[in-house]
Amino acid sequence: MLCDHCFQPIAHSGHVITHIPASDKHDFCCHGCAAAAALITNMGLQDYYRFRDQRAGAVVATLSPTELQVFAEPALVAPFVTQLGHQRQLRLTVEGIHCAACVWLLEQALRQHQSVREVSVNLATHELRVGWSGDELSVAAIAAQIAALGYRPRLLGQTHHTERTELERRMLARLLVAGLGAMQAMMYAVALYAGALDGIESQYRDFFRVAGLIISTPVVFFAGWPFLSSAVRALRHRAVNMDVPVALALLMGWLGSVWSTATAGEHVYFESVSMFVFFLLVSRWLEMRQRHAIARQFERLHADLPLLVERVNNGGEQMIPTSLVVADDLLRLRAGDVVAVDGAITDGHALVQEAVLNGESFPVARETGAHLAAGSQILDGTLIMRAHGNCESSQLALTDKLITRAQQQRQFGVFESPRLAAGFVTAVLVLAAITALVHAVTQSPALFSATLAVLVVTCPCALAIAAPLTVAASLGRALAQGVLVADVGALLRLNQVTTVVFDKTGTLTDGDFTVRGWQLLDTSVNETDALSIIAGLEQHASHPLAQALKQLAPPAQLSDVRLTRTGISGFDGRRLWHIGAAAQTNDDGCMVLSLSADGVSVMQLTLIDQINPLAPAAIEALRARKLRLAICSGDQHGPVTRVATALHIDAANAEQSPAQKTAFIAQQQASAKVAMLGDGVNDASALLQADVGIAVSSSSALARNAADIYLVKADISQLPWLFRLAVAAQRTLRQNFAWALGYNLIAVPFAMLGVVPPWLAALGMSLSSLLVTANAGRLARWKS
Amino acid sequence: MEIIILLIPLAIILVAIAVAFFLWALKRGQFDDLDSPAWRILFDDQQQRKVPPKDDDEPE
Repeated sequence: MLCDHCFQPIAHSGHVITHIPASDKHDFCCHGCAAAAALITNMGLQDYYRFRDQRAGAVVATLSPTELQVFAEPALVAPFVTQLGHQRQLRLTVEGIHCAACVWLLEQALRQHQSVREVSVNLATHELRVGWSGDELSVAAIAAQIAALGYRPRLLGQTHHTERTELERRMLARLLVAGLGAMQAMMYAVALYAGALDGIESQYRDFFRVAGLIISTPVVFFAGWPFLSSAVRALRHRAVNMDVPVALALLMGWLGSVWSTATAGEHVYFESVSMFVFFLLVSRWLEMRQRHAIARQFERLHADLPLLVERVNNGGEQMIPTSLVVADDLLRLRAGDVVAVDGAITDGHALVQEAVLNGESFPVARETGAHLAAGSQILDGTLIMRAHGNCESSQLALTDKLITRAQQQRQFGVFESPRLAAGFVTAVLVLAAITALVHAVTQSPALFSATLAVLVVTCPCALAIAAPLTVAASLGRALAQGVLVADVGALLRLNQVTTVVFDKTGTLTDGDFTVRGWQLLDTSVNETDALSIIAGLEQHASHPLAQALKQLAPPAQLSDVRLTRTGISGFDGRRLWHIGAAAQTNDDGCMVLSLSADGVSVMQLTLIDQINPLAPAAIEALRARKLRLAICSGDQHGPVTRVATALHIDAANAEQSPAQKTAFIAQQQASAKVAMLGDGVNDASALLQADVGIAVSSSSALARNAADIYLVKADISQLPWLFRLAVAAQRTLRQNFAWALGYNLIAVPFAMLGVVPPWLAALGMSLSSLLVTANAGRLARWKS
Repeated sequence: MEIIILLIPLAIILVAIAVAFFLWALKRGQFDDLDSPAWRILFDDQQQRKVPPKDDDEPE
């Protein structure tokens, strides 16, 4: 049975039946979905179910009171609220939006408040903008409304957003001026062409030339400013880059045409330089859009450390922003909270999930005095901890800084090899100089136009956009499939990879536990009753083991259910039951739990970390590509061997520390290019070491930062697809380079001879750019 | 044909005005979202039901 709201299968123990008047929906998987459906119906927005994409189901997000409180904290909210006259405008990122119907729902629901003036949600960036006036509505109320509908509001990335918006707007302004200017200049030029054929009176000819001058001046100097300033900057450093010939062509063309206008000379080239600028800007604009889309995606995934913590110094309790925590502060943590700073437990005990730090799939019990690392999660229990430092000084934060720095050093523009560009550009300038010289010596009238033509024709703009466009197309294609590529060189390097190293937990396995079987030790106890007791004990526990155990049977009613040092205990009226880790653990790599009644063990259960169902097929596909496969995991020998055997992977290393993983990869790199798949913090340095680092969904922020490629969906079968995309991208890139270079080489002799008028040169260059663009467009629509 | 002596400068002025309007719209953020207008047209118009934020007497 599927939940009527989110279309996820309903778990046996979680079935919620709620009758909502005026609605035919009544089966839900959890109270969150039931509440959201009730709210949607009450607001009269049932059309949501009609609009929505039936395939996309998403589990409804529930926000804890702490998370909601973030929106009531003025210091945290202030950067996201702007005052526009009487209106206040809030900008939020909303998670859980997966189709246009969600956008419709959010907009309609928020619009129903009287004080709301405008709402708009962007499906591509998941940003919500709401403007309201008056004091009745607060940011916290808006966030609560969004949460009530089942989405998760977040405050993310303000500084980068403003920078990006500024850049995009400026680029768009330049693009419009260039486009409009190019069309207008062309219009006046056509009159001049007609005049060249049929004759034109000199005052009208001058008039049209001046019109072209007026139009093309802002195009060259405002719209073309990025090229001019970049060229000047390069020359000042005594270097040349790809913009130098462009700037030279622009200035030569414009100045020469101005001179021609003033002295009633032969030709003017205002339309050529305008179109030149326009086409160059188009490719830059496309490239920028792509880059920003990817940066936004990455930002959404970053940083899951909590924004607020509960401080309990001197007996009082207070919610404070995490950034204000100092050493020796006492903080209270409850079940579900993520630890924000490094510290030690001073009071209480809890079950802690540290998989994100060390890859261990089993949660660990931590007592008073034990160390707690930032990034780990409290699964059960409440405790007080003493902070060892602030949030910047935790191990997690320091590793994050190292990795961000390493990542920033990677070039995004792989093809900006300075020596190659310098060599090319020098050749171009030499050719132009030769042309000028030869024409001057032979007293040919085509001196100016031939030199200009050579500069325009050799303009490596088809060459310059071939790479970025192909790259952007392949990135866009990958993005559409749910694969984020941060370093495009990595995508192309996949073509050279011959070895793939996998982490185990969360990569090849689900990271969840399932019950493999049980064994009744005491036959006087009924098996079904025992399973019910277990379900009852685990009923309200929130750690991953509990998920598997809750489903075993309808839960028995138990009283006095409490967390003990080794597990959970409860009283059923006759006996005291307890479930916890068994005395001896199976060395097959499974977790063994023991259910005991009054201290005597009556049943043993085995749980395993299930192998991702998509893994076997994906591994097979990779093997078919003749890739060598290996596992390198921090988990124990038993589980690792089990997974390796099941997937037929020969090389399996267990209990690897981060340093050992890195060393293993370095060792492999002596004879091969290595790709690494991982998800935990303990994989981060290995991911950096590998030639291509790939992080999988639900990775820690650190792993994502360190990785070149990130698989958003937990779909490991995207890996073979990615290899095929890399092949297609490489092929398209070669085709584009071949064409762009070929065109340049063929056209140059003609331009040097002076048979190519500059407008034809501009046209030819534009057409070749168009061809390269069309080819890249084919890649954007590539199907495996 | 002398009329173009008037018309061309007029046209240039019109283009300048158009660009000025565009830059104004750009600054007000009207071009920040180029993707959603495409599918927004598919939504039906809703009756704008203005309700106060609290809806207290619904049987549940």
